[in-house]
Amino acid sequence: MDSPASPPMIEIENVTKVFSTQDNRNLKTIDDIQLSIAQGEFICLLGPSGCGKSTLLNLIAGFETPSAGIVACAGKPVVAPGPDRGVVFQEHTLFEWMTVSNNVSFGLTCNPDIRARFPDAAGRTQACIDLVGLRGFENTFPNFLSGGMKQRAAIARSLAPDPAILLMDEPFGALDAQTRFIMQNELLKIWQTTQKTIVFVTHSIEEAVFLADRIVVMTKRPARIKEIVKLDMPRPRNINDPMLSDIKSRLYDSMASESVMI
Amino acid sequence: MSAVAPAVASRFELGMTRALYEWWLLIALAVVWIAASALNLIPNSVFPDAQTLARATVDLVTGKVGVLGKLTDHVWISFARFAAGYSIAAGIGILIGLLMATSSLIAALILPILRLLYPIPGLAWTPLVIMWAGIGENAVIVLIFLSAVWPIVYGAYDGFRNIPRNYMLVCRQLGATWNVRVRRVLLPAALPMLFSGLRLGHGMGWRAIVGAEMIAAVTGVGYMLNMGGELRRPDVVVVGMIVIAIMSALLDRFVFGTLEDRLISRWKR
Repeated sequence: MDSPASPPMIEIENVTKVFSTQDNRNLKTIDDIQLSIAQGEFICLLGPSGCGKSTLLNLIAGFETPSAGIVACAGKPVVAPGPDRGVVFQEHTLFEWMTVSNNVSFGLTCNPDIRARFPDAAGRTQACIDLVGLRGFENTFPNFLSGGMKQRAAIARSLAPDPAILLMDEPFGALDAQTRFIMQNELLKIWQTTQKTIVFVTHSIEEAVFLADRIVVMTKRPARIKEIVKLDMPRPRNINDPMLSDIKSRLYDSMASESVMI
Repeated sequence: MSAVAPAVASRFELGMTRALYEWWLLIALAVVWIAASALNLIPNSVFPDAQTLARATVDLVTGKVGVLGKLTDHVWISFARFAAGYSIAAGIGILIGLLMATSSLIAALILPILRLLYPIPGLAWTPLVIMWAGIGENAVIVLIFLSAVWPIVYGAYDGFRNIPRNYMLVCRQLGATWNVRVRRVLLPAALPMLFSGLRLGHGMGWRAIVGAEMIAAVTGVGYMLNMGGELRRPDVVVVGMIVIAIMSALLDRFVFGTLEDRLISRWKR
């Protein structure tokens, strides 16, 4: 992964993001971030609520443009959102009036280019539904699915156009603890099967430690990179592993100094 | 009871049981009314008894009441006026609601006007509308429009305004064309509230039509009903009322009910 031969999948070079608020003040949310993410890597962005980690994700997704610096994916600068970067949000993103199957196939049928790329949209849709374990629920409407199943469907939809990168913004944040744990395991399996590059935003240390190759700890606003913790442990990980416990307590200390009054 | 027959019978029985359960008071009142009619207890100058009402219905349908004309003609005229006024209300109402939802500037401009005009009953416009359009077709259509349009504007505004932001982000990320965004995402997302506005406006339109035709027309069910009053014919008035109720209820149940089942109920919870 450190070999210079393979160029990074995501390159964030000196990126700063400033928003202007309604009363015309400038609010710096991201300050000079430098980060390089390799192909196939699982990165967790960890930081206090409201620190700007979602903004960083939106910059990679192309929903926002940097005020300074460059974000590049697969060697090309990001100028707009695109199907090469799948996004999974926390909630409220499945189209309620479409069945699971139609939600998943939406990304394969919503423009002429993508239709040409996936002539067998039905087969691809089914493969993605199978991958996330939703076989048998193809014709169910989202409102009749549990929270975990909704997120499975959302993941399937974002995977359908075969993006190189999966961007996930606290995707399991609204789930109960048990479902959350199941979904984390599912996601790791999907990641291992598909070899995607994943950037996963979370404020949960446990979640980051369980999932990531590298954890990028961010400061409170304006977000800078505080430290990057590399985890070389095989998966599935045991959350009570003493080595993980050390890392967790280190991360708790790191986060505690960044806690903000809300 | 055989073991085979019930499938059909029980469904019918179920339907009857449900109808009885929902409508028992109405049915009971009808029974009382018919019994009182049979005993000649109802003074026809105040409220028609069953036989008078039946005769009036037949006479009106066959056009034997002279100046009152044929019921079927009135029904058709009223329906055509309603369809015209309501269609214009739907088209303009949805457009205004959509514009308001798209631009906060337009919303800020229109909302105060809307808040002022919404509580005014459509029929309060009648004298003005007659001055503008004269007595007849156009006046009635405009009055139906003025009664039906407000809830439609609000429904469309709320429907389009409350589309979750994430839906558009998903569309941008997946690269949906504008055609796909409008047809497959924006319209269906706005549909539940849009639809309830349309349904509410439908009811408002029917409420307005009788009043509008009483004052601003010389044909239509409302006019017939009003003439019934002038001629001291309670039976004609009641026939008119029943016809209006049936027309609006049929449309509401069969058009709106069916559309709602098909387009919304199966996914909305």
